[in-house]
Amino acid sequence: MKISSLWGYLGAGLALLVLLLVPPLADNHYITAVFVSVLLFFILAALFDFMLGYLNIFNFGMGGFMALGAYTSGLLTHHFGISPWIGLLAGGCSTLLLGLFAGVITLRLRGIYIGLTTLFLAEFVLFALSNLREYTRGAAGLQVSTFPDLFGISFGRGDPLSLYYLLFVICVVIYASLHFLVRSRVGLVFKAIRDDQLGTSVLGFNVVRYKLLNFAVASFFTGVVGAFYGNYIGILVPTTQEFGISRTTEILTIAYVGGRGTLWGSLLGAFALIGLQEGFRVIDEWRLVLYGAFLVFVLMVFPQGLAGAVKQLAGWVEARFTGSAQQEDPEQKASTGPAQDGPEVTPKLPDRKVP
Amino acid sequence: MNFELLTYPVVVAQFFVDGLGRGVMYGLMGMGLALIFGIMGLINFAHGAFFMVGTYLMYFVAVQLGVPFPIAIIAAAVGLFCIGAVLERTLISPLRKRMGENWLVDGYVMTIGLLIMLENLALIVMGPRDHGIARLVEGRTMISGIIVTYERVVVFVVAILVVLGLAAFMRYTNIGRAIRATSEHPDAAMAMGIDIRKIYTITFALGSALIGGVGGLLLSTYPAFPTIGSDVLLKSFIVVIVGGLGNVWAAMVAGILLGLIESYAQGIAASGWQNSIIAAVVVAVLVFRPAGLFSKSVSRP
Amino acid sequence: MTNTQPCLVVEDLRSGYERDVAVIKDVSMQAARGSVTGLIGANGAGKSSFLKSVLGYLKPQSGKVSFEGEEITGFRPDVSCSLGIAYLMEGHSVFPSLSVEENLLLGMWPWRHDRNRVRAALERAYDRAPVLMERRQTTSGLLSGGQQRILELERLYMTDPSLILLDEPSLGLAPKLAAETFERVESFSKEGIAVVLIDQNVRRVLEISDYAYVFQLGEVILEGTGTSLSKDVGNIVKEFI
Repeated sequence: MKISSLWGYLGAGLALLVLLLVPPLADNHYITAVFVSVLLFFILAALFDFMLGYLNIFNFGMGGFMALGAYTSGLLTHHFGISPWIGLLAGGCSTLLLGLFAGVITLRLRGIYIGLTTLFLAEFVLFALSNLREYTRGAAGLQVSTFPDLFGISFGRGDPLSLYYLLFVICVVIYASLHFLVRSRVGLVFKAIRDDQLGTSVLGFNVVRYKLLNFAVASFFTGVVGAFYGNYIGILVPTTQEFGISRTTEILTIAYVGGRGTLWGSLLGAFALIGLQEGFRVIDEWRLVLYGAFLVFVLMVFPQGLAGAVKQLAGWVEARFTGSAQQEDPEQKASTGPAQDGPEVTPKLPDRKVP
Repeated sequence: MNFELLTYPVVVAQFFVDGLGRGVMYGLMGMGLALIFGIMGLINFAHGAFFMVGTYLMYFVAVQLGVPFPIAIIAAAVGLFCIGAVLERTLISPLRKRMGENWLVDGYVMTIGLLIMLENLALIVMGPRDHGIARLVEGRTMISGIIVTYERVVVFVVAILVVLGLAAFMRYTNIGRAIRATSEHPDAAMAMGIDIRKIYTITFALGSALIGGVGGLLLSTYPAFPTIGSDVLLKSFIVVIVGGLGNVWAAMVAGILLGLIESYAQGIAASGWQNSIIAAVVVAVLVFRPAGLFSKSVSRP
Repeated sequence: MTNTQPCLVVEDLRSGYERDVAVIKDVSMQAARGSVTGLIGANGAGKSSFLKSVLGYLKPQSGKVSFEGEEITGFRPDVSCSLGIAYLMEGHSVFPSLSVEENLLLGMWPWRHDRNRVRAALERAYDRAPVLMERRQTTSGLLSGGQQRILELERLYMTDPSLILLDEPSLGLAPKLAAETFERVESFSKEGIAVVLIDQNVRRVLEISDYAYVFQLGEVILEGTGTSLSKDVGNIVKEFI
């Protein structure tokens, strides 16, 4: 027990160290950009997993939810001159409302039906955004202003490192909140609902409230990340690649490769897939094929994702380390032996013979 | 908005014919998806990618090899039948076996992986360039002022034949009966001596063949292009949801409905809002009638 | 039939739903031709799981299952069923949206290419159960519970099986229909078929069983001829069920 939590701390420390130190040490815009996408996809995948892995809510509208956050922030700053800092929260709030709406209408649906409903809800948002040309400028793209300086730190697009650290802080806050939630009693109830909704409600838990809570939390944070993303890329275009099915698919892939039901697995997934993409830039066009192949491979070979593989590895190392590998206790045959005081009928031995 | 157009009967009729032609295409697109979902419970996200492969196969066989169109369409269907069978056997079947009851979510994530692979492979091999044909059948006719192209007629007739053929196959053949039995009660089907793994493979291959053949049939409207399938996938989803997931016949009716709505909406208002409205309608159907618009029961899945 | 070799021989069968947890613990049993073999025990004693393990719905972990002298351990259910084992699973097993005739045709699936055999089997089934003839185009989900059970039993019998495994054939039926079902089961054995029967109605099972096994927690704790167990039926019910 002690050792497995030690593993956890070790891993978390290592991850933090890499995330904090590599970009400044490399001091290279390209590396920083790669790390920004790692963090973005990590946190989005963690949010996706927070819904799928803990409550079996298949949110296939992640892209559209992000778009709403990004556009809320972008439109508010563009048309009303509101600070992008407030825009982050505003993006979160508007997406929270969308999430609550999605939660309410899908309450009585299950599995793929939730996925399809969220998918078309997101499509609706995306179509609406591209149709409201007077405000969003549609396919022409909406300029998003940069974050103003804070505490004397510049967050302009010329300073990718400070933007990176901003995202880092956002991710830490979100991850800590999700981690706290899934480790608390609430997380237990989530899992209980996932495994047996009816049973959980019979125990007196308000399933509706927990589901909506999950939707609300995940959507709020998705909106915040979306708003940050809008500021980071500087121009919003409502395309499928940016905010549609393709984006959701990428997030889902990373969550899956990372491992369902383990928030930290998403970081592994993000590193693995973004690393794969960037590492294989040489063979440029093939990298997306590899992406798909990797997803299929992980599903076939590591059903628990990379996190599952790591857990297995850690368990194996631990078993080696402590020598408590297998303690196969002898079959407790006696426990359910034949009844001693049964009525005295025919003896137990078969009285018919096989020739 | 331009409602004035609707005061001319000829225009209204023309919209109807256009919508019908388009709707039949959507219905055809949805059938393979509905079949696979109805029997296996699997949402095949690679459905659009299979369509794309079908268009390329058609292009190769018909244009490069110069084979007559009807045979080329059949070739596209046969090609996809084989691809579908191989993919089901190698990827989907092991997943079902391993995951037991919970294989469905992993199943559709698997098809998403397939979709990414197929689209990008096509991009590498074929490049971002259209490969199409001008039309399947030349010529058109005027019926009291309404223009009807022969191609539309051909597609319409093929659609009817496919619907009737599939119905007859499901009803009057041993395999068709076994497919229906397996979808209703897999354990009991096994007790009849039916190898349900084979049935699933055949079903998936059949659904793939349907969409592959449709890809071939519609090559002139949807020229082969690596991402041509994403629009097809979305349209198929809409049709299948509105018709009721897994209901093959209702998919055709829903397709026609969608085609008519699109046709009239585009005639009246030239903006892109019909997309938003259709998305909203789909959400409403999912929420209020998850079993589809035409189903008698309102039971929830 | 004077063949003395039992039709079904199960030796030390062990199986379960998870790899290391056995639900069926080293069960041995036999079923002879022309006899009814009863399996009784409380709910959850492992009777149904035992039948599923014999047929291959559950993969055996160890042990051996032989049918007509051939080992069939771990065969897939559809293979076992094609060899001549008929199985009535617990609960409903008609295909509700298929017609009565389609259900019967599916019963003959392994022999579907032998059209004469299928036609003959169908005719005989209709002769035995005229109600099925009358309603042969009806969607079988619309049949009454009793009619569905008749359909299921005829669908089993028409394949000419040498072994029939029945899991709760009288469950959910009105007393009169249940009695008819038991009569039908007895008639199977009189024709030389080996019948293995599970039912909640312990007394009735022991009455018609030539031999019976009592299950508890996945093990056979008692066995004997139907008549000998019948004498102690009160005790058995009290102790084990």
